[in-house]
Amino acid sequence: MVSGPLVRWIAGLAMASGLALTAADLSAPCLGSAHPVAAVARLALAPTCHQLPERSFRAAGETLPACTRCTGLHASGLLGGLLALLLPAAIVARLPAPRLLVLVGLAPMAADVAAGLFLDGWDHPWLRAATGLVAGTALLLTLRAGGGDSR
Amino acid sequence: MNRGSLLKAALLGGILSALMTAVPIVGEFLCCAWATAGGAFAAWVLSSDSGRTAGGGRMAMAGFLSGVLGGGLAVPLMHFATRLRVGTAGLEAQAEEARRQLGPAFEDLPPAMIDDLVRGFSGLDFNVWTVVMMLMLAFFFALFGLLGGLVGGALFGATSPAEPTPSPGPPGGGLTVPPPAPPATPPGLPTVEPPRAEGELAVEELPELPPAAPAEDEPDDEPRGPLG
Repeated sequence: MVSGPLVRWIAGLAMASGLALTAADLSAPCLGSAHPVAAVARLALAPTCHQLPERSFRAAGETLPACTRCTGLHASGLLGGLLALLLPAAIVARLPAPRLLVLVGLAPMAADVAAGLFLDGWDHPWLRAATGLVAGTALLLTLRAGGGDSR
Repeated sequence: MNRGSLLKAALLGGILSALMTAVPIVGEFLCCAWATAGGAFAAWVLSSDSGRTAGGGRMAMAGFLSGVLGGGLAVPLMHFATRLRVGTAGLEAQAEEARRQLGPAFEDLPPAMIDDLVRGFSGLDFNVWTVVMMLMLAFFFALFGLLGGLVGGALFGATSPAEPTPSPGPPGGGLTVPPPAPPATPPGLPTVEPPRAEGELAVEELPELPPAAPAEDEPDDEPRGPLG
């Protein structure tokens, strides 16, 4: 269990980073890929994502600059940080231990990665995004897990 | 208690993530996983330095800082690795390709600024745009480093939240001897009641007392300490 002020700090940092990444993801469909911000976002995201167009979402006629799994992970910074801050104590008390939460959170993503590697035709963009979102959110919830309300 | 150095752990994790991101094929294949691995490594360093007493929050913070440092360090390292791999001529070709792609986006900017941007981003020059990219990547890596630090905190964190405090010994400083335990009755044998004095009642023979009346002058909102 992490002490209260530190939870707020870490959750706030995760939300800030998740917000920046999500904004970078949405820059292309919102502003158009020819906009300077979208162009710089695509360049800046290159070291953290393979950016393959066939594994990325398309919206408003534009391809997002991050793959579907990374898009889910980026959004999880925002969602997980928000939940870590606002989750009521009654639900926090029911959260499993951090180690179990990590296992439960990462298992769907690991299963999806394994299915993509070993099963022919396994290609579910929304599942990739969802497993990324679940993994990141579960990891951020470990801030509050393991013994009660730590705000 | 040795708490371990947060900065040392963050620096080691950041160097690991930056190095692995900069390695051409490995970095492109596993992309954000290296930032996460750097965060987990920072958490492990902090845990081992502190004798497994570091809490999950410090490990998460070590992961976050390792992401920030790793993102900042990755840009010059990537440029260096690319320069080694393709040479200056190859970098010039990459910059020309980037200029062609970015042309429509930056057509309103002066050509000199576009040239600076492309050369800074592609690694031909180290200029203000390289620093902008370092800052952006530091911010982006931070989330993945934090997630890695949280994984490390769950895996390598302190197993018990608080260590038991030793009770103060007797004034003389000698060993305390626990009181002797009552002799256990072997199973199957009847328990023997201790002899009672004349007039003493057993517990089950005690008469019921009337419920105590509430004290009228006792304040209801008496202070209960700082958390009360």
